[in-house]
Amino acid sequence: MRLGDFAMRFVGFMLLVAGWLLALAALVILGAPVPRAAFVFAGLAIEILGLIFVFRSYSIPREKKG
Amino acid sequence: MPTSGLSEIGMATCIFMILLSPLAGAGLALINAGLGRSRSAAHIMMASLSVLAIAALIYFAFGFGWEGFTGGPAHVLTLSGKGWNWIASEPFFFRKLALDGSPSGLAALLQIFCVGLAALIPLGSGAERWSLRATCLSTAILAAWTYPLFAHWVWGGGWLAQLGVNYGLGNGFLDVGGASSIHVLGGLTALAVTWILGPRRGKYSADGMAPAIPGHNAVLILFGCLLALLGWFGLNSAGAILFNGGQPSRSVLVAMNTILSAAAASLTAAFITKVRFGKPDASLTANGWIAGLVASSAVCAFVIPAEAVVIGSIAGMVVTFSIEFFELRLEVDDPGGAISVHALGGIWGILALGMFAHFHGPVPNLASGSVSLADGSASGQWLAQLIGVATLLGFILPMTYGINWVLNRFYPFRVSVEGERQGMDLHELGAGAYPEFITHSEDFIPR
Repeated sequence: MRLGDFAMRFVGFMLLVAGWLLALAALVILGAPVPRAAFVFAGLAIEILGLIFVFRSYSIPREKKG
Repeated sequence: MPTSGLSEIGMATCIFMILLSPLAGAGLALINAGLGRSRSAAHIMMASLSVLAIAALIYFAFGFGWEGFTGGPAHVLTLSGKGWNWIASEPFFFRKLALDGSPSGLAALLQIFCVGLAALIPLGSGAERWSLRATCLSTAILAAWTYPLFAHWVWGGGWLAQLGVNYGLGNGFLDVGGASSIHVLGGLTALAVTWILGPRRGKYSADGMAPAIPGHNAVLILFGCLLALLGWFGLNSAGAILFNGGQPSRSVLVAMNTILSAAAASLTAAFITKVRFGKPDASLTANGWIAGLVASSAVCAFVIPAEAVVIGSIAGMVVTFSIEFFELRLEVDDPGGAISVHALGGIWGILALGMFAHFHGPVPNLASGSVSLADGSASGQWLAQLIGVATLLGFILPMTYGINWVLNRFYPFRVSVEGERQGMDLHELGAGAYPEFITHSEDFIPR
């Protein structure tokens, strides 16, 4: 496994967890519905970014295909 | 209260529905076998049986202790004055569990089948390269920890179910038949396993092509769909009675929505493939059928039939395109389509509940420990559903990936190159599923 792939994967999973924690923090800290919803959406957006990183890290190098 | 007894009719209906639910597992096993190549068919069925057996035993030993049932002992963390019920502390080995028709006993029985179903889902993705030993180990962890933890949050009075009571988000996270705790959890585990295993040998060629590796038996696939329908009737109806306070008569609406969602999803998939490829594709139509069932699992007790048709149609569309997207763009080799069908279909179902659900009168998230609020509109329900999805992606996926990654370090998941070439049946079991296809030299010896 290439170091770059490993780093990207690690960052991706960290982003997934960070997005979840942001959504939880919004629940605990924010009371008003609109900011709370905005933070939950932001958390989900970070999770999607994390997913993109992990998927990218698993793309198969051309020389390994076949 | 959730732990109050069911009526005689309620209990009888619930038991009947629970006993139908293993058919969902039988259907999935047949579909997975049919979608794989013939040289690995016996291996898939053997792995399915092993997975069901291990899941039942491990859940009996440990799983129910962590999952529990609403109103039972649990560990609660207090944050800003609100209790976050995060894990149950029931005795292991079903000690102190009343197996006499009480809701907790019925829930434990239902959960034994549910955990097996969740564990079957990754088999479709890891088909033709995931060793039997590693499959069993991964299943043991799923049944002992991953599934019970999340199922407690949804069905055992955990913090997701209490989002309504604690934070005014509708009725809290709702999931009638396990779209989240069974299907998305299983689908995300399938994604983690697929990442770890890598694609089947020869799936992606150096020139960038990804040749299709068709399933070996469309009859198994389509018969599996019919069996799965019966199983889903059981899962959804039992879930509605046990976790959402549905009366037995509500099973009519639940069953109606279940079949309509599946029908709409499969026809949508058939139509899309007919338009795109000239002929309807049997395996994608079957995947659409299952995706419709999965999506219905979340919403079946809270929508009208016309909405179930819309939800099913969207599920069928999502699955048809996402299977191709995963295979060709993301280079995820998922022979059974489990990630698209179960993870995406389930996520769509969870979100659809937030968008379409109607609550008439006091409802019914019994999993939260109280017959909650329900002002009819249940404002904030969609946010509760969204937080459930964020939890699945941001907590369950990294955790299940981490667990399987560590397991793979000690017990490599993938069989050897030789094993893959030979086929999993001969390599791992020593005999094929269809021995009559092999010509024996003694057949030609004159007698």
